[in-house]
Amino acid sequence: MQPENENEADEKKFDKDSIGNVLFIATSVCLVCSFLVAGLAVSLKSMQDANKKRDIMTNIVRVAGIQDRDIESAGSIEAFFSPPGENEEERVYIEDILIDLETGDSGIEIAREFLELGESVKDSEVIAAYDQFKAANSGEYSTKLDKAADIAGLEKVEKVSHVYLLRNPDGSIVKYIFPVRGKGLWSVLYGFLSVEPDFQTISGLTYYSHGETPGLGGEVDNPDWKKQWTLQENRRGQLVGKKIFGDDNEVKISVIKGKSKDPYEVDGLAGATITSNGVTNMLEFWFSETGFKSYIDKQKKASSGVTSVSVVSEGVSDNG
Amino acid sequence: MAKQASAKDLVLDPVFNNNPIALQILGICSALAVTTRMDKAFVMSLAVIFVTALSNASVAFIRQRIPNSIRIIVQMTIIASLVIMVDQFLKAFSYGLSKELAVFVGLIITNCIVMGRAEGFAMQNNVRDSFLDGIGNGLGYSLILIVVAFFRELFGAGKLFGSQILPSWYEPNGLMLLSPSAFFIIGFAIWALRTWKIDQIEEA
Repeated sequence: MQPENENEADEKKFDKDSIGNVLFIATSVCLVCSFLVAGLAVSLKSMQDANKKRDIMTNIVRVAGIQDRDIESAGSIEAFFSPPGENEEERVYIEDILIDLETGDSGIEIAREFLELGESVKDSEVIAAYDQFKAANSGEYSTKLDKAADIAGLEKVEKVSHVYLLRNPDGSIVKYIFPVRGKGLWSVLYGFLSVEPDFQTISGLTYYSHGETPGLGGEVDNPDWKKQWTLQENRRGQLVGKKIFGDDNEVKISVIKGKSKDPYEVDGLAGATITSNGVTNMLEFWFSETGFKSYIDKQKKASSGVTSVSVVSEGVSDNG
Repeated sequence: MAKQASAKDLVLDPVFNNNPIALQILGICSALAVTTRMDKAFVMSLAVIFVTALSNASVAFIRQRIPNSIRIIVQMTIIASLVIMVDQFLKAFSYGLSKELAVFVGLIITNCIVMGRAEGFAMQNNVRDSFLDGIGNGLGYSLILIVVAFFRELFGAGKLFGSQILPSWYEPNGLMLLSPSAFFIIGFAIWALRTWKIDQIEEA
């Protein structure tokens, strides 16, 4: 072997296996590599975060059932997060709201406190800035769960959560989209569940982040499996979906082993029992008192006076 | 290092004469996983070429100083750093693809081709040769990947790079999208290559 440069040629016998050299090489290789990796990660972070945010928005738009051609005509995914302007074609849009999970009322003031924003900051800015996963990690703005209640394996849950409302151009609500998350086998699965205004029929479930085994638990991303969660036409041509609550008003939907037989059951993922159970548990968690139950009950009560109206608007939205 | 190998030989030799997948049967795992679509295979190829070339060059650069006792760890550290850099780049510039490639970008770290070239070639050769050897081996891997992806996407979905190629009467063959089909295609590719280059046939 030829020496790399003259310095090394001078040292006649450079002992590369000496303890000193081992330590020197190990340290310097680690230092150089970590500087490069860290430098790159920091400099690209803002772009990656923007991508992540966009990906979450895309998932909300998809689970809301907005089709490709509608996205094309609206121009971008982001366009759906504000009502159409005056010169635009009429289209559905998504409203982002904050809900206090305990009371079911608006959580915007709690979020404002959490973000330490003053009264002068607009509500819409508070909503946009509020990160519920950060809140879940904080002490004051999260609820610690005891073992029995913690079926989704989250340990702590935020007090205030985002909820997304899909609205018709006239303002009537077409779908409620709830963020859900819970532990599978290896990781926490993050996703969205969209529900019809009857708070009973599920019209979509999607996960945007998880670390389950590709091919097994990772099949939660499989379009064929996700299709079970969407509204399907039955033999009489009606749209039907899976149902959340049983007759006792408790969460009944579950992912079972094998083939589902009724609207409360979804086919399990082959070879991924723990991930399947994780999906069941997280739905039970987020649609009982620990989650959105109080909000849902409040909404149901508020609309019960005008039941006939809401049924009609539902029919309209299905056709549209 | 008696004679200086020419740049052309260094780059082209691993593509046809000494292909890492077809002759050495290395790196099969990722070849099965990322070849369902041309765009995935293409990005994966670029990533592997980048990593093999630069890891080879950096290992060659410090080869006389790397102690024997920790040489594998040093090589791994360099390879892993490069792979993380590729992964970060994909997340910033091609988020959708990086989500689909998922673990397989990370798994370039364990791709035998990268490690094999660092240990087998870069430890004994100078920076220039090692760099070219890395590119050559990356290209050899890419060639097979792209060929496999071409057939899988064309017959599995009737598309290439996501746009419809075959007429609508063509019923896509779902088997082509499953991993076993990659085995068949790699098998056929090896057969074709060895029919052309007879000296690659091993003695029975």
